[in-house]
Amino acid sequence: MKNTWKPKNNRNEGIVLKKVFIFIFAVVFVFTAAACGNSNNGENSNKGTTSGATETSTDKPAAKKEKLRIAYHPNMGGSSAIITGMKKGYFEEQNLEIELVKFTSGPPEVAAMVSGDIDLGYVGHGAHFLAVEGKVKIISLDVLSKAEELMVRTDSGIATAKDLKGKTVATQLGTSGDIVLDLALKKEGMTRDDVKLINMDMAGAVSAFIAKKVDAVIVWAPYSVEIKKNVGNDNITVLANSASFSDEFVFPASWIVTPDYLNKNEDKVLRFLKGLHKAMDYRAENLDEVVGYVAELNDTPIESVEQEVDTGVWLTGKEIRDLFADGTAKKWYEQQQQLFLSSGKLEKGAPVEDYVTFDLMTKVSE
Amino acid sequence: MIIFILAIMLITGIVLVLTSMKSTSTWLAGSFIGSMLLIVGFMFYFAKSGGLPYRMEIIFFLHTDIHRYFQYSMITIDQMSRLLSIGRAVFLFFSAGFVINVSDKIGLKQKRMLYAAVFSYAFINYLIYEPVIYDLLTKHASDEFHSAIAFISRGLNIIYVLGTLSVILSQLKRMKTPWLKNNFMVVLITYVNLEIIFLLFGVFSPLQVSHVIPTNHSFLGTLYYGQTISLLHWYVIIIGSFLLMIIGTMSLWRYNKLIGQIGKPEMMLEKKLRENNMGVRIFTHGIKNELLAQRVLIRRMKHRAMNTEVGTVDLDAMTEQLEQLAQSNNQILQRMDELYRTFKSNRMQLKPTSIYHIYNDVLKKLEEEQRSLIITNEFEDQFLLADRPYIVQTICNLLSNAFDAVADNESNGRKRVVSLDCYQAGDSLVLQIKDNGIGIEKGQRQRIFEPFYTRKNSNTNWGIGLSYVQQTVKAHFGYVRFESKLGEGTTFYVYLPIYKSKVQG
Repeated sequence: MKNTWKPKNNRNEGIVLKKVFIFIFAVVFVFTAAACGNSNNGENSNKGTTSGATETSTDKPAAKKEKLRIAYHPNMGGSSAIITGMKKGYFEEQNLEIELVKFTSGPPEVAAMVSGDIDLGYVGHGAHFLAVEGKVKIISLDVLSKAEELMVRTDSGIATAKDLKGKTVATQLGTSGDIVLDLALKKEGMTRDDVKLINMDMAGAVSAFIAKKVDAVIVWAPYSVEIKKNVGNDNITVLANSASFSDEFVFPASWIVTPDYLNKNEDKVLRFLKGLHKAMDYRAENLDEVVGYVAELNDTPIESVEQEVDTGVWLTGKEIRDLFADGTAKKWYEQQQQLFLSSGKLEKGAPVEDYVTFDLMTKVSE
Repeated sequence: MIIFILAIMLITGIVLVLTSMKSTSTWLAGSFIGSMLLIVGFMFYFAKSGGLPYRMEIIFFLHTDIHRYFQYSMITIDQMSRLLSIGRAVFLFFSAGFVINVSDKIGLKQKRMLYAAVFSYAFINYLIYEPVIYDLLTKHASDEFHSAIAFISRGLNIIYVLGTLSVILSQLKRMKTPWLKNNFMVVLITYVNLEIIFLLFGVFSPLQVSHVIPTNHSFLGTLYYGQTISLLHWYVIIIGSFLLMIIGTMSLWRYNKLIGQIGKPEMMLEKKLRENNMGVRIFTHGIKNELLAQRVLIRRMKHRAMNTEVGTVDLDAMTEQLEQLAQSNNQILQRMDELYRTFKSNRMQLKPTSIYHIYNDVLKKLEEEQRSLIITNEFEDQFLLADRPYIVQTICNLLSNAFDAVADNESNGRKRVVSLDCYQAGDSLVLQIKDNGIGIEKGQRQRIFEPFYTRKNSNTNWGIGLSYVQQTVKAHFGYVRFESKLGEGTTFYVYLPIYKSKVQG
């Protein structure tokens, strides 16, 4: 007869092996945990010394570079200034080291910033309501965008925004896509209740539109470029885009920081701003070169980035400082706030001075 | 990299459910599914919204094609959030269910109530973060309200995880049987690993992604930006999880197999024993016929010898030899009858029997010298369903082997130690017969339960002692295990299901 359980000794050897294995893992985990504790302390002490280093670094520019974690968007608007500054060494001049973190939309980015993980970031105009709510402060304008487009297939029979009634529309809520949809519908006397709105990120919306799962999308570049490439320019009807409303509104993209970070690191933020404006100056003069940087950073074809160039007004640092100084920027942000309030995105407003750092801007040119 | 964990969870989960009919497997596989949903949910989220440093993108997606696949999938933001809350709820339910399932301290009625309770908890957990409900719940709410919900939810889940861990740890503590405990230990480590994964993705990562609230993301830096958990930690976690998942699943499989043998002897074993049983019957029957024929022959010889003339043969010597032959023949027949009875009578009367009574009977049967040698421990009385004479004989057989094994100890300068211990392990009573004798050779270990297999060459030993032990214990719904080291000794464990403990009775 054969026994079904194996000789005990073999199992014992197995157990010994297993015990060794478990022991190794236990040790690794304990070390990991210990290292966690250490690195945490290290991080805290780093944070503690950062402000100190800031003070000293203004005296001695040769000091160790200070790290900034920057949120960017993988498109021409959201990458061009920062990558130019990095490539041209404008941040290094300010003794700053940039670490980039990619975000595809503003709201998750602001959430990450508020939780203290990202120092500064770029947001499209749709996410500016978060600044009005006091979560972040706007430190500078960047591009004036015309990139958002409300698109349908020409063969869908939808010819105007009015025809969207009862149709499915995909865009990401809390972004500028959201705003353009509201404006387009409002023009036809409709609200978003008249359409079936699907809250989807840009890439998802692109897939859904190409797969004919949705009737319309509001996307921005480079996603709009991608759709046109896939569906064919002939079969795309743009019902509305940001430019359709440019008489009434300006759609500014901005650079933001959390109030807390700004309070503790004003000098750092100022140096960042200086580098950024210098990069914007360079960008306005050398758009072709910058397109190459953006394409490289985001691993997108140069042609599609080139198409994005036309969707924005690429301001120089000086122009921005002037817009801040002469009250134009303030007016734009006020208009923008009104838009948020009228669409119900904001329940109550706030003075623009509370969330736009005009005084910091004056220090940039000093 | 995380994709590897997903793959291994999927494979081991499927293997677990398909190969093991035990409910523990299903519970663990359910926990795998919960973790998988959570991880996949975050793969969607991070692919679509971004927010991961480049090095973490490799951890999550390994390759840009996988990243692109997730990014361009047509899942809506609400569906992503739902995936997370369902994953979390599934994990909460199945991980606690697993613990309840393996715990032997919880009664059947209590178990049902506990299953219902953990289900409710998991379901409420899902409901709160179901995007539609969360939207209603937090409409016009301040950030503080969102934070409060997140704080309470995280806090409760941590308490819940610690609770399940403490229950499973106490279960491990209660286990006394070494080979069961070893297997369970590995299962436990796998379980802890699953809980770590859950804490990473189900508690400290964003709780929902349909409503972008900063408190949701408050651990993002800790987890993904290398502020506390560095890249190295992630690699350790991933590789560790990968290996643990495989080893743990194997251990659970083995554990289930062992546990399965407690209640219901394995089919293979049962069948083989039946075949053997048949073989033994045929054998004994054949031998008996042979011996009866011999007996007739001997009688005739005897008769002839008595009628032969004086002087031709040494009658005295012949008669004496014949007498011896007859005696030995008789002995064989007696033995055969005994053996035949053993295997023929399949009926046992199982009655609630006190282990104290069994113990006393065993001690009575021992010789004076053996009684003085044996070491016993104190234990609580328990009732077994047993046929007393059979079970007593079983223990006596094992003890007799043990005394034989230590017989030569003193000539080798070692003390003779034979112990009979009794303790409770889960729902079983373990009778442990241990000696410090010669041990069993490796080659013999597989065969010792075979009938007529013996290493003691004597005419009083027929090699049916251990076969008898196994047959009897099996008939009592128990099973026998042994450990042996050559030259150091042998330990037999007889597992018998407890009918009721004295306290309850």
